[in-house]
Amino acid sequence: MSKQLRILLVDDFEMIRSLLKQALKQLGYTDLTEAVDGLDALDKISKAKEAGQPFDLVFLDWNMPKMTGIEVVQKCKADENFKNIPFIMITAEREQKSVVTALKAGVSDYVIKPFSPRQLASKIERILTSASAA
Amino acid sequence: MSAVRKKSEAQLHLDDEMVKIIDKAMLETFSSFMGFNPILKHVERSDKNISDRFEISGIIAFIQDKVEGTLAIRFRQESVLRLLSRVYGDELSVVDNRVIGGVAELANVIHGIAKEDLNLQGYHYQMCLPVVIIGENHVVVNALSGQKLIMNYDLDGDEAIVELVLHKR
Repeated sequence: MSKQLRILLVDDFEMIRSLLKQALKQLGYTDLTEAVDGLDALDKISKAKEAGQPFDLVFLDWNMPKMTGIEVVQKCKADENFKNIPFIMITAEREQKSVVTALKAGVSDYVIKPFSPRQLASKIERILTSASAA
Repeated sequence: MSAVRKKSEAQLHLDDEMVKIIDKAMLETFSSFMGFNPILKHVERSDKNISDRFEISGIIAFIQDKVEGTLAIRFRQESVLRLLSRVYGDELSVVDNRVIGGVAELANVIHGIAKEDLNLQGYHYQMCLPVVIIGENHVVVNALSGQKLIMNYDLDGDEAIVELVLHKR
């Protein structure tokens, strides 16, 4: 499995970004960038693409100020430049209908808080496997 | 239509089943985020307002069409600084936005787990946004309800309490 993924972590709470960073570093992923809300995420996704170093994966929170995680995904999926970026939604919302809403918006997978490194590893592996099969 | 009967008319009780639901949420949250299991030391039902010792509280509502309430997780300042220092990986010495956000997120996650368990029983609670109250010896007063469930925890040597209030709308 490649450890060279460029990963964007989007959450308005620094605690969750910090926990994600710790977990992903434990898994061997070190190319990590943070964004503090949906607008910041779009800006960083766009700039990374312009710099020729697009993100391979985005973890993002659902409820954020300025722009929700769902809106970020919808905007990216509607843009030819970003539509292939896989998104993993991270949220405390556990309802089945919320999972369906997120999947319909275009997220590739879904992580419920609180999460463990093992859960993140499983989600990443699933996305990498489906990407290589495509 | 949901296979689970909607319990909008049901009266939720601050009973042992509710204690189990909250305790499971505390266990999942702290074991995943901080790597230890919280120990439930004491449970009481009381109408008193606890003010002493606690300086920061994360509060989040339970909303449903017939029953509503609030869940608060409350810490002493020195305890929350120690606990969140583990998460951030550096020593926190003041209550800043990182601490406020951390307490809000802890309340949010505990609420999310408890809400799921209640909704599996058919209660249909909705998601709400947490708020954080800071202040020495502050009191969390629930104006519309008398009795509250108070659960006292040992968090790996630090103390916190969870207060839950529910009442019919």
